[in-house]
Amino acid sequence: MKSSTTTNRGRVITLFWLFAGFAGLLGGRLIKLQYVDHPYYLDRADAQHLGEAELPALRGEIRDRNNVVLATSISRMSVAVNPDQLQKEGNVEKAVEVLSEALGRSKADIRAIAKRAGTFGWIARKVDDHVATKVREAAIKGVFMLKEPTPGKRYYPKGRLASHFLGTTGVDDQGLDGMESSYEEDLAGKPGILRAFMDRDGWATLESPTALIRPAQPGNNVILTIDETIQYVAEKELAKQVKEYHAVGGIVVVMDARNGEILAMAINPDFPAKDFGAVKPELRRNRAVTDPYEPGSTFKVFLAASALDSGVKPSDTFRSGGILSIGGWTIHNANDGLYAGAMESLKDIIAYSFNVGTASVAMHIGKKTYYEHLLKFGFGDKTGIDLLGESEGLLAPADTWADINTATISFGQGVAVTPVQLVSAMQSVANGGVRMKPRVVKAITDHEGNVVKRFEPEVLNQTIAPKAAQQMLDILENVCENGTGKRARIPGYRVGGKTGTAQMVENGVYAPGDYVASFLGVAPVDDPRIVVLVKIEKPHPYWGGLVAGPVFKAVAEKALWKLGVKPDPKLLKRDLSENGH
Amino acid sequence: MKKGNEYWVLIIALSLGMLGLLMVFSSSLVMTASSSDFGSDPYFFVKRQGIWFMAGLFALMVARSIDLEKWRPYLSLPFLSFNIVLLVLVLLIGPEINGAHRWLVLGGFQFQPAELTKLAMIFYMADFLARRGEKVRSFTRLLPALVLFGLCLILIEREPDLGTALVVAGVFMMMLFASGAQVSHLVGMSAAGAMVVVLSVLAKPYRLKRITSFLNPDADPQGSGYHAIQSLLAIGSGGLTGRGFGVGHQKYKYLPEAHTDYIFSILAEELGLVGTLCVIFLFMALLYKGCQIALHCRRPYLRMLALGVTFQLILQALLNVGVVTGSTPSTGLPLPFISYGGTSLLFSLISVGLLMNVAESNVALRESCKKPSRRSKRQRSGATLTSSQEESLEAVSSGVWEKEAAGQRLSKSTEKVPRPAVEPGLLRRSDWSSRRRHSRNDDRRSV
Repeated sequence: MKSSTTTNRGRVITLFWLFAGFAGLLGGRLIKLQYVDHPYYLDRADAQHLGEAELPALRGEIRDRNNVVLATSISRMSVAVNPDQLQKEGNVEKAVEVLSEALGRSKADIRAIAKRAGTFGWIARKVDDHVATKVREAAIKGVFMLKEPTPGKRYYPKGRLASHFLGTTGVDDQGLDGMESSYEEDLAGKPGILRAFMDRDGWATLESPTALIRPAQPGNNVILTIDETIQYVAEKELAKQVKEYHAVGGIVVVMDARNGEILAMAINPDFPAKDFGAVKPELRRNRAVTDPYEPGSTFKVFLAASALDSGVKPSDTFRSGGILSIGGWTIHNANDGLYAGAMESLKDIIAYSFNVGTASVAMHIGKKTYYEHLLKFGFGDKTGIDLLGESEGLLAPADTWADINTATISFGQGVAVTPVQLVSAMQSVANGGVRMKPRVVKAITDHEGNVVKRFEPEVLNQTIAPKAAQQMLDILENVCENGTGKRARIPGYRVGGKTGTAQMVENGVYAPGDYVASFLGVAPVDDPRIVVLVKIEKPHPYWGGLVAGPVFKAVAEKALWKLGVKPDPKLLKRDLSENGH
Repeated sequence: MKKGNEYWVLIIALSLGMLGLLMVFSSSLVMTASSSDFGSDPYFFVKRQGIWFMAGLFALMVARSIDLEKWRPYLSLPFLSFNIVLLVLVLLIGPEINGAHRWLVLGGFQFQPAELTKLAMIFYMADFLARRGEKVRSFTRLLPALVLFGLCLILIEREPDLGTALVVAGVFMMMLFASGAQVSHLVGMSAAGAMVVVLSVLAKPYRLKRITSFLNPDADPQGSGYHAIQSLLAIGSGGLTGRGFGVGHQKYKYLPEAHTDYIFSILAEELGLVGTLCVIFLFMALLYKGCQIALHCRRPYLRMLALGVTFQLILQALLNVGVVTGSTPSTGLPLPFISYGGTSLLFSLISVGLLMNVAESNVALRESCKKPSRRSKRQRSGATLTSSQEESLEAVSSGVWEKEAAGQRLSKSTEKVPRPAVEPGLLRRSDWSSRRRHSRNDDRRSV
């Protein structure tokens, strides 16, 4: 009989060795995997883990024409090392010493990063300025700084200034509206690329990246044609008038008469630029380019200009009094206390804004000539201004016009234009008939201030002959000297302009009692520098000369000062003595 | 005989357990910190594992100090029966998690009856084999155990939990083998078992997929081979010393189940070959100490118990390492002491407690026998602890116990042939062939 006890012991030992053998095989397998084949698996693992992580770029600034910052992003300096370079230069200990002192971090932490393989490792991100200065002053080869943006933080240091115009950015710092959007490509900058370990979903892990493939390139700055001072004055004066006359809003556009640069574009009601996203869409639109309206009497300027260009003299007279019947419709002058004689000169028709006279002039030159001129002035088409959402307005083709249409369009009814179209057309009058492309951006500069791209003035077309333009300016000056625009006069300057009082069209019909008071002017007329449109919506009372004229005066006066246009001392003396009476 | 064995196994278990806590933390923190499911708490799993570890240590103390002989009747058939009831219950009312019914939920407390089966089967088999003694060579005498074992296997397979079933079967076979069952029987059973395994693999497509993906993981790298490939990438990229604790990359959602079944891969990635070989070494040391404790033990019941728990822990550990290194097909087994999982940790620590219990009973026995006269006698006889004095001393209590436990049939045989309850010690290694002869003679003399 064989004893179980001896079998038992031997068998336990057998099992032990079987297990040990199995474990040995597994050990061998581990040595194969982790030692012999380690490079292979490391390569495969790296191919799986390593990806390119984005290093966000600092967004460029939006500045006014004098480099005053209107929109900016906050950045902080981050400290990084190039471990390979540190080791090669023998700078590890020096770097550890300086960095731990400057950052107040343990030497072991920094040493661990400085001593590992690779060409990139974060030491500290977004440090305070004095820390960054300390690190920079140490100037250790292998330690470097990166400018990092604070994403989603766009600052508008001027508060409400030009808020419609500047637009806004989204959470990822991308431009969503206004200038921020239309110049997104320039402002955005190029993100840097870091080689980093990624998780399976493609997000960079907590581990520091191993190499800097491309540093982030900050976005370019957009230098506007806007002048911060003129913009500020325009907004302030507009707001004041809107409040005083219980209006619902208004627009002021100031353009450089020589080159089409927009100097100010004020929209009321306004809001702080940072609250852009929270504002109702209809309020945050840049209505100066997006919203066409019936211009009313200010549009008579372009009828007169067309007539002058077609050979009519300022002194030629046209039927202006009473009532004009055209195709069953009757046209009469506005009930504003100015009474027309039976026949009035073109000069006076404009000066006193006689509708009947204007219609007579239009009938005289004919719809074809008139329409062609309107097209040359740019009506019915986009001006090409570099702003989002520009409207082309509403100008029906001449072959669809009945005589009554020709007549009403001549005094600004049955046609819709944007404020920028009006200003642009007026600019050509002020510039000897040469229409310049309206622009809001002067130049693009890189983050160091070097000019990348300069936007030169661009001629669009010749609208009217230089002689006609000069005659037109004289007529416009007369409006301010003797006609409806007296309140627009600026002491020491010769100004010209045209008032306008148009009934507002709401839901396709003229709204009784709701008017647009406007003034379209040029200053100074002897050497035009600026064109200004003032448009005030639903003021009470509503006469254009009364409501919009003073805004023109205040804005244009300060704009001329800012542009360094000196007042004529003789005129100044005359005007001041007149005012004294 | 070494007195400190019980402390050695405790030290090994604590080392593995602490390493496990660290690895559970490292391997789960990415998942937990980034998910609101876990309250974005990086300590989510390590906290729970820590609580289970404490509970496990308490259970270890209990398992170490109970009188196993006293509890023997309750821990054999009744315990296994209770477990079978639980296995049936889990099939009936266990919630389905990942397509399997493995857990019983009691008031927010999850528990895997199959884990308990491992222990219950060991207790039952230890008792069964100790009572059968040499009769394990008879196939018919093994039948009752085979029937119960088969029942358990079928129930576990139905959950389905083939991994645990394989471990239970492996431990069952090893205990039979160690107790002296005929090799031909074991071969037959293994062949039958293999047939069943093949059939069950064929019956479930996902198991077949596991086999094919084991043979060629690159055939479907994003599908069935994904686990295997990611595990190998983790292990292989670890290299000699690893990427460093906490800085592995595979846990970033590349390797699924990083904190449970595949924790060894993360360990390999972060601690390198040094770490993995240390873990293998610790398990081998546990195996060595476990076998030593068993071989020192002269009570068949305790010896089989010690062997059972040792084999169970080591088999499971090696199978797990085999799976994650792509050396064996995927079975879905946790790595004892290290993988996250409360039930597994609890029973691993209870197993260690039982080993300590057996080791201490060895020592206690030696202490009680330590008299100079006996030692001289033992040396004279050339056998270890087999003198008739000791036998009589132990046989009284054990004989009584055996009568009570094994019923009429056994007590009859006890009357006829007073079998020694204390068998000769087995660990004297020097010149063991001659001593074996002696001890065999001693046996005969006593019989």
